[in-house]
Amino acid sequence: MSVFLQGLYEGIINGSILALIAMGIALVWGVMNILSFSQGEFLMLGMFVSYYANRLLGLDPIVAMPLSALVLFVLGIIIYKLIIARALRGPILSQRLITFALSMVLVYSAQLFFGAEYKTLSNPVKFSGTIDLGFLTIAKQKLVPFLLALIVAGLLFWFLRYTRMGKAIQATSMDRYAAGLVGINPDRAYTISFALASAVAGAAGCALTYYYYLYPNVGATFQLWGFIAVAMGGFGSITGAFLSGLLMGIADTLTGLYVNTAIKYIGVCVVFLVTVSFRPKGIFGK
Amino acid sequence: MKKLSSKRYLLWAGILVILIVLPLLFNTAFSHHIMTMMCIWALLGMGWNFIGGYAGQISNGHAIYYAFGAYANAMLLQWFNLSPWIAMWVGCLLSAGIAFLIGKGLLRFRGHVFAIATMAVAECVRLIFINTKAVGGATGVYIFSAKLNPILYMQFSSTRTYVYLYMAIVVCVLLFVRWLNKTKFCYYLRAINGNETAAESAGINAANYKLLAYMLSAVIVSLAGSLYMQFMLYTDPSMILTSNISMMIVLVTVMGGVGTVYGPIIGAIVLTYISEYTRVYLSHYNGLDMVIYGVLVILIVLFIPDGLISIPGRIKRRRERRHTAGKEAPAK
Amino acid sequence: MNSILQVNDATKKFSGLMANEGITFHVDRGEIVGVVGPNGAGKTTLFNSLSGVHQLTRGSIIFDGIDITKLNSHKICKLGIGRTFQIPQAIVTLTVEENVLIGALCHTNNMKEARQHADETIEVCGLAALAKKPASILNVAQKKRLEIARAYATDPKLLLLDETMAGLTATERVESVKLIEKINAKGVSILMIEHNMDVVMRVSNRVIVLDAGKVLAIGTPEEVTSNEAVINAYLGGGKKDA
Repeated sequence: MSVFLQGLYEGIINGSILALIAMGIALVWGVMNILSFSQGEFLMLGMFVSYYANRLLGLDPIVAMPLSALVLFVLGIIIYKLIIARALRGPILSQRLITFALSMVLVYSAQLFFGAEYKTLSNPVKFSGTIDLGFLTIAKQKLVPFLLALIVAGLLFWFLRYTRMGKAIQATSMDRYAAGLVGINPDRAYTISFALASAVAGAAGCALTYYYYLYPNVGATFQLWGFIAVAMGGFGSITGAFLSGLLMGIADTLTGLYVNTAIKYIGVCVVFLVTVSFRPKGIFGK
Repeated sequence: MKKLSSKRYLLWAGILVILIVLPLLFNTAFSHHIMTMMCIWALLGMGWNFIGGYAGQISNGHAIYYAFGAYANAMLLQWFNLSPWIAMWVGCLLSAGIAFLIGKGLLRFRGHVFAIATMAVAECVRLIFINTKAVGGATGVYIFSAKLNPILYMQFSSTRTYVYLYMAIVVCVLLFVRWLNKTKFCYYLRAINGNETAAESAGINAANYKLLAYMLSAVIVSLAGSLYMQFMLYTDPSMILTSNISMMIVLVTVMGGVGTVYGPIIGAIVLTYISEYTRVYLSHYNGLDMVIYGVLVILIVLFIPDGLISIPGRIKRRRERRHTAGKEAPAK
Repeated sequence: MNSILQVNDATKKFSGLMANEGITFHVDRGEIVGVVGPNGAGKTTLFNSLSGVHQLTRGSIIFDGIDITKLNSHKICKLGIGRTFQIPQAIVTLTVEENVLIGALCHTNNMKEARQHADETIEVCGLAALAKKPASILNVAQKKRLEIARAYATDPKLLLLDETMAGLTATERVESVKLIEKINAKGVSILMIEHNMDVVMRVSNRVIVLDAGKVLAIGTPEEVTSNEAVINAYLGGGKKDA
């Protein structure tokens, strides 16, 4: 039983990172209909921000998080303005390929500047230790991704539902042309969504450095799982992406625990394919 | 009309001469390596083009068939001592069968979901290959043997032989694609791509045609995999079964011109050239070659979204516009 | 059996909503039958059932002696029902000529034969001047005409026309009526949804009036226009020319 609980807990933690990535992908997908291949690389860059903040300034990842989110937000704006805005005028397929090529540029830039070797945080992390509940051992630093996922999800919902900009983004995602007619600047809505998605990934990257090693290509797997979570959750649905990200983390960890680590990914893929076969628009899609 | 066609023959003859002369002119192993890789990527692009270009279903998982082709050659040689000349066709058949099963399941999905589903399946296949000892697992397979008859077992000592053989195969596939391009099959695929509702209402069984296109594309990609295996004589899942390879197959086609006959070939030539040369000249800076490569890809796809093949048309249109503008100017 | 199409008790339910209920009618060979009714009466739903876009919840459709109730779009097209859509579904990636060619390929694999047939159809439909143009640049009237051409190129015995006059100018309407009559004269039966009452009354042999998913009246244009229920529900509503 306690093994199961421990597995469930670890699954939720892993799922939190997936949920964070997936929310960003869902936002970009829903608003500008791009399948963004660079989301995993924003996570990677977030990890490097956290790593260098720790190494050079001795900061805890949790302290570096706002910094990382900010850096990635600004990078998101730059990338949108430089590349994505132009790409949106072309066919959907080119848009996808451009984000793919962008992810390549980011991965190998990281390799060029930071090196290809595996890294972990070098300075001691203050926010650590364990809480022993008897039936469950909770590593404090692993709580960070989970709490972060909850907070970010909450903030995103609040932002999209109650702020002017958020409402504008939602309107644009429903009908770009009509939104333009009622005075919303679609380009601004797109910029903010893309930058937000990248900032969320940046924060997630920070949280991940607590217990995960970093290297330039670390984003790739998270990227694919993020896609799957979004497709399973229902496209463009941020709630769906969040929940199915969590679910995938749990499924992944539990099959790894009870069946076999080699086939756990296959398990997740099979669950995904079966789900979309019965519900082509995803679990939470309308 | 007749003059034009004789001009056309001349053009083809010229290209043929160039193809024969090039490997002699650039007679180094590195040049031959580049030419062979161009042929292989051209085949990959031409294959993917059927499902992704003509039928408009963007598969992001075609590395599966590339791997099946390569592994078919390796394993059939290892297990049954089967010559690659036969094994590559067995690989094609196998790929067609696998594509039938996967296509049946996945072609119901559309847009991004289809893309993600193909990626997921490709990832599963990669994990299966890595964890199957019988096909070499993560360490892959190695088929070089000096004892084999080079002609019977397609293991030539001269890289130039590979270049000529692969060029001949590309030309054959190209002729096939050119012929198919003008048939009912390709018109139907284009109709499905343009508007599936309209296509169905005009009597097209869209599901069947998409499945056929998917299987055909798998066969050609598998053939490319077999050729890749014979040239490299070694492969492993991280070389040919990654999502990067799947994306590059799409990239080659889109860069050259998606849904066109010659686009994939042009894309293959340019992309291979860029990637091999950046690799050779910049690889001492760790990763710089791939950064430059990525930037070039972004620029090309961003500024020439219809592919390199659209450039002559663009220039022509621009010239025409300038011409008419020049005519109108004095009227002012 | 003289009727080309026999529809019995056609009923279509969308998650609780009755879009069509108990619709029974027939179309005779060579006949032009108009389908009228206010928006939301279930006209397009009926067309979608007839052309196999979706299947009936209840009832049957017999076409030329064959039960087509459960068949898919493409099979129904092969059997000889062509259709157009209310929102024109031009294959925008192809030229006008190729759009029609797609229809012409329905019954042959021979490209030469199909091209010839497509050329003839383009000529009949008055699209010859536009043949080489991409379908994406056509205006509404031309797209509607292209739809008819593509459907007609499949050699249908029955043509379902969904609001081919909507959005057309008076001159274009006259042209369109001429085309429909020309096609009908070649022996193709026609079932057409139409809002323009002048057109319906002039062209149709019989008219079916739908309201709220049910048949309100069937008869010759004169019979229908003098039917009290119809006057109350539809014509009386001042919707003479929607």
